[in-house]
Amino acid sequence: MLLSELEWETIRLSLRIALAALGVILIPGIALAWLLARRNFPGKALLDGVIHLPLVLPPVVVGYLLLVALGRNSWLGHWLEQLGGWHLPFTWQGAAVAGGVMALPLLVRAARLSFEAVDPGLEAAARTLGAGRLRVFFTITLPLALPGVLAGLVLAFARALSEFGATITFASNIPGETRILPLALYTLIQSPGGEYAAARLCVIAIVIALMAMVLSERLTRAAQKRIQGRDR
Amino acid sequence: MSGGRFEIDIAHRQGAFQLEVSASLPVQGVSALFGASGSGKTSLLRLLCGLDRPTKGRIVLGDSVLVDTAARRWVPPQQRRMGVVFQEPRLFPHYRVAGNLRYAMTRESRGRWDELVALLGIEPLLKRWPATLSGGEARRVAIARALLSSPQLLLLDEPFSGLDEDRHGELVRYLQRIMNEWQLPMVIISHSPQDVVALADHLVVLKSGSKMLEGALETLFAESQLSEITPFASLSILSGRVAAPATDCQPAQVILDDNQRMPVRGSHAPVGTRVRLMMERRELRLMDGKASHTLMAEVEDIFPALGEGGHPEAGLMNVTVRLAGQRLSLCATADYIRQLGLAPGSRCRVGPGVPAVVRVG
Repeated sequence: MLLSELEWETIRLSLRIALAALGVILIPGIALAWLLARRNFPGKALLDGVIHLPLVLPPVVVGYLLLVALGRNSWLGHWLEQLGGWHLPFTWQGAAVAGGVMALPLLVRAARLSFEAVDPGLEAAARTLGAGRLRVFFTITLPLALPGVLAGLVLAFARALSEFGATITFASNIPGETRILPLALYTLIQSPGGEYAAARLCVIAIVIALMAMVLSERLTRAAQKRIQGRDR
Repeated sequence: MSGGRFEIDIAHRQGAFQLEVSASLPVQGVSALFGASGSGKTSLLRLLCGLDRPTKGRIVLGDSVLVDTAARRWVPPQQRRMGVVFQEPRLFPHYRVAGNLRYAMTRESRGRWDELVALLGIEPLLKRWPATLSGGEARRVAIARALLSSPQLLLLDEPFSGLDEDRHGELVRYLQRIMNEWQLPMVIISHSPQDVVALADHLVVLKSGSKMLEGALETLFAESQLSEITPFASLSILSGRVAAPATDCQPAQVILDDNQRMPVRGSHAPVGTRVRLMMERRELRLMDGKASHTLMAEVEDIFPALGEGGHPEAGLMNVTVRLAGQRLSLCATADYIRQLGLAPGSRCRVGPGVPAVVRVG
């Protein structure tokens, strides 16, 4: 095998946590993007600001805030514990939440821009043809915005995969549980004689990032072709 | 659905623009909303189909209240069953033509698919993508799509904008066929008096957000109410029935409501069909009694013709005459009128040329 068992485990864990992070933010992210693109309501600027906070705050601050908000002593953490025995801090699910929160602004930004680019006249036409709001969203708005939404998802995925500060603060650096690729890399650099293994992980990170970019490019192009509606 | 009224009584503020219209359209035949750009036609259409909410007022179609701000009633657009053909075709780019049509289809309209596709000539387009259609083709698809949503009323916003003359005439004929074969009430927005005359039974004239004039088109012409509205002032209409079809060497003949006959062009309608003729002022001539192919009329009024800027044109007079229940507007030199000895109330003869049939049915 090209890669060691430990490297495989790191990759699997990283991918699982990044995908789970996408799962956490997929629906709220798209809903928020649509809200910001198509609705006017009091507090819109504030909501926009809050969503974008993770882009400008030190990630450690975000991790700490998550710990305060979702820890066992907070009412929200307590409620989650009661509801399904979910315990987020220091678990892989917590790492997914931390990655998701950090990735959310990237998804919302990209999706919002592409929702804004959809001609509201098409949505109006669909409504006069008898389509309700939900049908309009799923048959007109979302398909036409799909290239941008997909690009946003890939960006968010890459962001969740590379999160460090928020994850280590909220979910800690537990081998096999929350030690995703950047944390593993950090650990190796800290330990004497780990330089070679660290370099190997570096290469793996670059390969994964490149694959994500190529995939995103392909998806975007396919979706774009589809909405431009030409014979192909 | 026919027979009821489409009652509109709304006030709507949109930035600095204030729209205040109250009108009562018949829920049958074609009503036209006419006005220059900026008169509020499109704003009114958006209120009618529910894309905007009026600041104040009521909209009632037949016996269903669509909007009543006082009673906080508002029916959303998807429940109003109004087919809308917007100024741009607004076809969904990610569906083929067939997909666009299917998007609108309801259980009731499923059986009319073939009929509609044939009526509007879109069979060869079904597999195409909207981006590959010409302006006229896209417009026809948009009309078919609106009709497939089983509307109780069809709203058309400047359906002829951006079409060349051939496509324009073709679309007028398609709309007349829908009007005659489907018995579907229509409201059409237009800034072209020719299109209004070719389609409308009922006319509402808008000017800077309020109603200037409303009534049955033929009555408005007969009572000279449109003479104040510049683009209509030089037009006259006549109605009658087809008396004889066109043959190889003879034009079709129309018999007017006062039993006078005249040749017409552009008629393929069968004998007995009601038709509307439109004439420009410059096509009509006052004749002396000896000329043939003239129509008997009665002079109503003679007044100086006005040129550009409202200044009288020296030596030229406008004459209005009464003919077959209509009022026609002509222009002649003062000398000629004196020579014929015309005065209000006197009989005269009008050479109508060979006017075009602009509306059938």
